[in-house]
Amino acid sequence: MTQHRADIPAVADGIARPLWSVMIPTFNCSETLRHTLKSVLGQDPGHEIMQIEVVDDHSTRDDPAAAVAQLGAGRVGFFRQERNVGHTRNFETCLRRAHGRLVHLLHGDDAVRPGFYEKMGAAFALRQIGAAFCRQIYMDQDGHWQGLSSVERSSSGVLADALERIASAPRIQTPSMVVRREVYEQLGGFDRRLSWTEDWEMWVRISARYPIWYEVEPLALYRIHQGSSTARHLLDAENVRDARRCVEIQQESIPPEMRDRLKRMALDWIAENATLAGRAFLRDGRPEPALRQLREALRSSTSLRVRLRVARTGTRALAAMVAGRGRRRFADGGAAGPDVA
Amino acid sequence: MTYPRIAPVEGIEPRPLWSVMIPTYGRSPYLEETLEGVLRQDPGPQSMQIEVVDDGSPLDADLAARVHKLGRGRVAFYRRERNGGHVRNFNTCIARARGQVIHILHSDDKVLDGFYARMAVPFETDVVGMAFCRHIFIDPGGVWQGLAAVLQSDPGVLTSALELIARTQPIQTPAVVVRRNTYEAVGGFDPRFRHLGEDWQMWVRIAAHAPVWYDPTPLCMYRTHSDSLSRRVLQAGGGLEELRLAVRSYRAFLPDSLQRSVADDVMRHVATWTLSMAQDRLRCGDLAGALLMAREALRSSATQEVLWRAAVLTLHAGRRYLMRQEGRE
Repeated sequence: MTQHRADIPAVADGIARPLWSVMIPTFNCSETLRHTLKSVLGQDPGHEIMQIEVVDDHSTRDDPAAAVAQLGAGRVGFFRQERNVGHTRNFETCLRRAHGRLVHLLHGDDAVRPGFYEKMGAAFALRQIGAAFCRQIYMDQDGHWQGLSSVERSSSGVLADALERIASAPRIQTPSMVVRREVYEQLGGFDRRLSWTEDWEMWVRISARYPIWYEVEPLALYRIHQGSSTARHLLDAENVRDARRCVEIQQESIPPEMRDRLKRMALDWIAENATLAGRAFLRDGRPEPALRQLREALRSSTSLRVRLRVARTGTRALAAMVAGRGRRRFADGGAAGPDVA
Repeated sequence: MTYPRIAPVEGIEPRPLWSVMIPTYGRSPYLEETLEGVLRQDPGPQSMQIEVVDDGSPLDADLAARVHKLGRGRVAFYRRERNGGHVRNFNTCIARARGQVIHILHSDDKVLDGFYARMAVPFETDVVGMAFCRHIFIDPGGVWQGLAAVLQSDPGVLTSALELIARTQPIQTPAVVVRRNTYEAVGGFDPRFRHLGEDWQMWVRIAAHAPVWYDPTPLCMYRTHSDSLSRRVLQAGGGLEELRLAVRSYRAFLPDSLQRSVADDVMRHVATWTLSMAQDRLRCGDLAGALLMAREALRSSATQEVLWRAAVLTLHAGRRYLMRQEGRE
């Protein structure tokens, strides 16, 4: 194991091993945690078969212990970090504290649909697989279902080209994924060098070594965060640099003959995604972060498609910046323009 | 225009809350799933009538037995004497329904757990005439393909329901439940429709008559077929006449203020969409089909934009025709 990844030791002898460990990392999300807990407890097969535990990363704005006590008293474990450790390290704590054979990391923002554990468990009973993922439903802040992840194949089964699919674009959200604990014991924890893409790196590492099952029914609910456009890592385009770092680290797990091709596909995806983020910033009337996204897009890929998109959006962003400066100067001059806030 | 009369239920007390009426034509490969979805949430015969209604398909003695078996003895079966098309079959479903609230659930479609519990809520008071939820689109293999849009964030009476439904037809039949006495008041489905549009017209008629309840939770699945009846008919041009009939006939149910704005808008949309089908035809080299579609577009709306686009399309078709004559294509 490298210094960048935590060791996940095997469960000590004498400790009971349920089939499932549902580990629920939280940070300031008590409200949605209630929804998360209800969705799990609604299909609870009992503590002999399922461990359920909330692992709180030292929330400061709310009290997840109260939600746990209210909904899962006596059934749901609760662990609180002494201090805030960041979500990648909090995942590590989840993995270490899990003692079931199958680990499901279910963030306190997300949820599962009825039948998740039954169907995913059946896949592990049927085939020798390292991990299984299902399609996910994207929900908004109000919990309304807004979209579906794409269809990888039209029926459930082992994904023939799992590594290629998973390495070429991030298509799995954490609540959709279930991993055998012994896989984490073999491969180690999430990579600490990554801040926003540590899950993607992990799924690539796993799919390079183990067969992956795909469940075509959307059984996991992933919450999309509004207001994330104000997040610092998007404003300074750190998310794009993080994704590029992720692609570099992924290369270590990918067989040499596939490395170049998968890297190019992943970088193209990252670049296109950055141009879309740039366009979204521009629509919001924020040309500076738009330009930062576009610059990172070009650093990721110089395909014709990406260059054309950058040129188009970049021109408009520059024009918007110049116009914005002009207006501000005009306003500073004391005239009451319509845009003066 | 008078719509088919729906006679009130007499002599049955107490009546069940629900009538789940399942129209079919012969055996559907999906009937088992459809029934399973209903039976999982069956509140018992006192609260729910469940019946499969066959549209006089060629005699298949097994069908009744199959329904009996799949329905575990809980599901009734009725066969119309003669085939009358799906619109008449819908009316037979309504006539045979004994419950207070009717759910017409086609044997291709299905409900998710919780459908009947959540959709019963609006009928606890007397105001609402119909209720619908979001639907999930699935393909013939049952793979989820998409979700109906969220029209309103909270469950409740839908604001501007009449305008919204007339403008966009956001509803698929398995997502709708209607109070039986609402059908008694507005009449049955309009038998002038052979293929499509009867549902749209009906939801507008109901929305003009009583408040409509909306639940943004997706609680049912609507199966789409790439070779479905309505799609085939639309591509052949015949379904467009029925779409126009829907808009012409629901117009009278709109208040004056909406008649022009909504109905004209919809016709323009129909025309634009028809023109895009015409362009597809042209790309495929089907010149006659393209011209047929262009003509249909003009019948829907003769606004300047539609006229202009139809003219350009006709010119392109003419050029292709001449090239073909010269053997250059």
